[in-house]
Amino acid sequence: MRTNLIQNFIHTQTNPSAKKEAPEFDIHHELKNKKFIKPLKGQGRLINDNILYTPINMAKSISYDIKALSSAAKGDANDHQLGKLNDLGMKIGGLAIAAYLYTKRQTPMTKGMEFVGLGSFFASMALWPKIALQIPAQMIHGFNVQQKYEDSMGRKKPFFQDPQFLPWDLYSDEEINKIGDTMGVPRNIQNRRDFIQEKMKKIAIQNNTLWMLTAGFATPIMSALICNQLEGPFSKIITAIKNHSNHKTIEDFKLSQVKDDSLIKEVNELLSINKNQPLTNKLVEQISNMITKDFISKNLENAVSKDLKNMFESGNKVINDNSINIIVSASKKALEGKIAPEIIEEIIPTQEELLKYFDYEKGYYQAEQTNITLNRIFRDFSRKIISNVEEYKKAHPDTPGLATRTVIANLNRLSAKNNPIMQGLSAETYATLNANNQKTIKKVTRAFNDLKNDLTVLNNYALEQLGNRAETTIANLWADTVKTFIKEIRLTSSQVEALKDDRLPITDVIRKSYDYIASDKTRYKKFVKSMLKQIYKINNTINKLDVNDDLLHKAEATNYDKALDKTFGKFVEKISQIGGLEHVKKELVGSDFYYRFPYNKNGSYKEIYKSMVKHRLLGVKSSFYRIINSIATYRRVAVGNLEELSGFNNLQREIKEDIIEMSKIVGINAHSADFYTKFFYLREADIDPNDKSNIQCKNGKVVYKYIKPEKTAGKIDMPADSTQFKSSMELQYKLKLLPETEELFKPFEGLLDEFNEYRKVIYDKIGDIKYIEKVHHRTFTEANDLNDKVIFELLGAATDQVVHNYCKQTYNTKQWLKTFGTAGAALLGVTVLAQFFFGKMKTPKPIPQTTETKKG
Amino acid sequence: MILPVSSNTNQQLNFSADKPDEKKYNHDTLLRNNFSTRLRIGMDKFTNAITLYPAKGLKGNRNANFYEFLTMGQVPYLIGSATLMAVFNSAIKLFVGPEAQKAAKPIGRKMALGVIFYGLAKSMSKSLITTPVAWLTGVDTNLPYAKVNYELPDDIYDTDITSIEYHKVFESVEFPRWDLLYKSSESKRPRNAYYDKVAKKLGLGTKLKDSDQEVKPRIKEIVVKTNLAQNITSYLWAATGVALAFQKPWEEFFNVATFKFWKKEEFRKSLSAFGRSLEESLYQFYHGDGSKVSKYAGKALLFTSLGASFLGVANVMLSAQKPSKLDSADIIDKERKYVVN
Repeated sequence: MRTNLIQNFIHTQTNPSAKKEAPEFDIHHELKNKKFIKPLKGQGRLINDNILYTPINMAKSISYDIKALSSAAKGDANDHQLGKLNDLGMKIGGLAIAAYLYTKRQTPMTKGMEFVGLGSFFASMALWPKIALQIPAQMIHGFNVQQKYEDSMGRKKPFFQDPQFLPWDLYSDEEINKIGDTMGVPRNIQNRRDFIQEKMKKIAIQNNTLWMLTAGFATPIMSALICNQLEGPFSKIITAIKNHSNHKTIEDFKLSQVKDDSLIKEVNELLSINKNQPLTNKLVEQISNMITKDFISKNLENAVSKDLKNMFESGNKVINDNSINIIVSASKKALEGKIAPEIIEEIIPTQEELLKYFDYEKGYYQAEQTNITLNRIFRDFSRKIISNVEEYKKAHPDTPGLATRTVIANLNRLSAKNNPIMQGLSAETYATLNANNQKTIKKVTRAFNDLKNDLTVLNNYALEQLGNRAETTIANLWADTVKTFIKEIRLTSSQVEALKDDRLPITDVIRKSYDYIASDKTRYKKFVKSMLKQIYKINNTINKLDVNDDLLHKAEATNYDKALDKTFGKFVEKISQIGGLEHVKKELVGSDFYYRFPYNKNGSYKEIYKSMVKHRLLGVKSSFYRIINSIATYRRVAVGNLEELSGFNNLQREIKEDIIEMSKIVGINAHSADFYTKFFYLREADIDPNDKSNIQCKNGKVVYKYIKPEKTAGKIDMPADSTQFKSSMELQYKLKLLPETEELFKPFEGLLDEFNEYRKVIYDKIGDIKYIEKVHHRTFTEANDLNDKVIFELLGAATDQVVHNYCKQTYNTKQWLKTFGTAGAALLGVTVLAQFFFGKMKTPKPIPQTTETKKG
Repeated sequence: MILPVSSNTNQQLNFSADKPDEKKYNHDTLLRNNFSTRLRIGMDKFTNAITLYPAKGLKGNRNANFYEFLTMGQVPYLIGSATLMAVFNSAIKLFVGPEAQKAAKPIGRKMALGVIFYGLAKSMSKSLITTPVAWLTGVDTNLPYAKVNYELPDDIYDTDITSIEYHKVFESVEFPRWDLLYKSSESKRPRNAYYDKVAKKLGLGTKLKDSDQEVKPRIKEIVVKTNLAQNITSYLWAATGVALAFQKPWEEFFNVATFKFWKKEEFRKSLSAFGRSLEESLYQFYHGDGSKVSKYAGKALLFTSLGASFLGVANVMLSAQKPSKLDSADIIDKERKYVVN
């Protein structure tokens, strides 16, 4: 048995100090009445702090952990403290995992989610027993199975942790009786308190077991579900912060914000390895490649190579692969027409032979050539040809008219300028990587290093705001707008599942939805307003002063453009001081001529930077303006306002129907790459020429007499007839907006102008019949100045494709949620349900009522 | 402590339902800390954690105790690990589009591998502390013993009133089972043999009159510090394991991974891919994947774990080397109030 320390303590006290005694404890009194000796009165209490105490409790807990850590480090901690340190270790380990994975993630959102994941895991561990066990048990049995208490030493522990040691004295009779009442324990039984305690203990054991059995399933699922739900709001916060900081960066752009000299170091290392070596083509290319590696442009690399070669201090002649090639090819060329071609092939040494020869002459190959060595090589080469001629003669004694020796002799006598061998030998000059040339390379490297550093800031801006990657400002705005659109067209979960695999049926779904929306003014207003609100958000989130699409919204140079001008301007200034980098300058900022006219799109690196963001923004806005334009067309048809369409009234009914239907479809599914292919006719080849009746609408929906919208096969084409395309484009993009539609733009300042500009540009560029360029039946020889990229940016993404992508992505997320959400819900259900069966005990018989009690 | 219901515990009378020839402890018994004991204890605890204890607990058995609750703590660990793997992997095959599946697959697999490495690194790393401590001080903080627990009979027919629990001598730093460390007269070894050995290891000398009194406070300090070092470093090593699992070269292994050992060729390829991926992943973990941060992140984590383990052991040794001779009166601090739990 363990030593009773308290008794030891009491007996060893000879002169107990009254000051150190616990309150309400009189040692003398206790000693006189030894049979009543008992342990010190407990100071423990049940913890029933409300939620307001959470911060205080958290602070206390942290302070306790620190104290525990310090005590344990000194080797003086108790069991409770060591237990706490295990939790601390788990948190430190968790933080270490999150911090490491943070470094592996690319975007602020995914980086941040690592910590959200960690937090949600710990939160799930704490929340599951509360939600699934504590609260239901409290409601069913009337007491807290996760009750905590503070012992006399101030240590917090779960009350029901150890069923063999339960400090029941912390519960008052009143509390226990109240719990008993909730449990339905009869009031008139013997040892009621003991019975209730036993019942509580049983329920607690059962709950603790259930906790252990379910926590393994519940914690990861709950944590994943929490993360899934937090991803959206977290992404919004991150985007807003990034957007703000990006705006500040670009609004107040400063050069030399990034200090990174890694490129300089790398180049210097290469230079020191190759110090005083010949600057061969290979080495110059290596240097150029290294200097321009962050620019990913072969043209720029070549430009640097070209400029550097011109800038180097030139040296003497060198023989290398290239000069050998020249010797062989020039010699063959010089003998052409004078000697039969097959003989030329025999007598001129091959490149391999020459390479062997120059390899043998190691001291000279790829090294400085003096006139003496050149003459010697020249002599050797000539002799070799002559000996080849002799050998050829021996092998072919019957070959007539081989005046080769004379020809060769004549060739050798030619002046150095015309002599093919000398031409080859003096073709390549070489420079060495001497101090001056190193200096030149270092200057160029410094200029590129600084440019790269400044562009890093602009790259980040462009990528985080409008880049083609996840979680950019534009990507988040896109996702929000698409979500709004999906909500407005009322796409159901079952439709999402059905449409995830096939894009084709989507047009019909959207078409029906548009018809439904456009047939009613209220629905139409709601739809357009919601979408405009989102588009307006795009315009307001990405500051117009920082960057704009430059087509729908024209303005002076934006902050981004100014920052680029500043960056490249500084670079040009630096390379002008160095001098000789004309090709580089042309690649990066355009030639001098263009550079003086900065609005000229000259395809320079700087202009590509500028246009990239504009085109990204334009593409996104076009995709959503297209939706507005499409629904506006549906609305116009629904209200029957078509008389403004030129010559429309005189058309046959079937053609009218064809135009209407075509306009409705292409608005949804026309893709930039197959735009024209949609313009096949839906009508029959033979139409009723006399039926010129008007289109009929019933409840805002067109009632077709001839056209069958569902027709997919047997479409016809009449290449010479442009009526359909022309009228359709006019209907969609040229007619003035309905007043009711214009009215909807009012709350969104500037959006109507942009939208009208969008319609005008499309009509001007692709509404013209010249646009139809079917290779085999072009009706006009003239073609529009368009390319696929421009068409893509104007048309944006096809609406059906937008929906298809949404369906695929949403299905994946929903599938995951369905699998684990269902599992989580089922687990919760079973856990809660199980508690109704807990705590079943045979209730003791009531105390028989005496006569007195009965009377009383 | 609940005492035996009768004084028959040392006699041949057996209350247990076990077969008579089965080895059964009839008093608390110190066990050897070797692989076979650890395996036996591990298996015993595991089988009880998934069978007997949940059954007792769900019935609310009055004999259920804290040991059983703690032993059942394995269950959420194991189920949690499997669920965590499932959360990231099981839904992949339901995703639409090969791109989505292709993107999700390596992430899911890395998560699963991370879970396995977490568990392995956490349990294996503990010996980085306990082994050197045992070697340097003679104190094996994991020394196990079998505890005979006397229970209340469930009903009048319940004759098996004992249960065996496997504890560690130094499980509680406040109440270590010192008694089990004294040698019995049957062993024909000095009563204080264990304490003599520790005292010698700690440099307190040999042939001490009361070696137990000398070393007990030192052992207690060693145990506390070892536990601290174990608790913190094992999670750091676990984090290192997860980090290793998140390296790109594992993707090569995932492409050919199979557990079908009966398909010899495929299994052999899978094993060799594992070896190759492990080697390349270790390299990438240490040197980084090209980005600036990753160049330092792996090293930082690894050296933090290594450093913490080293510091942990060093801290233990620091106390082991300090001068002893505590006044016996100091063992009980007169200024403090003691509460017996």
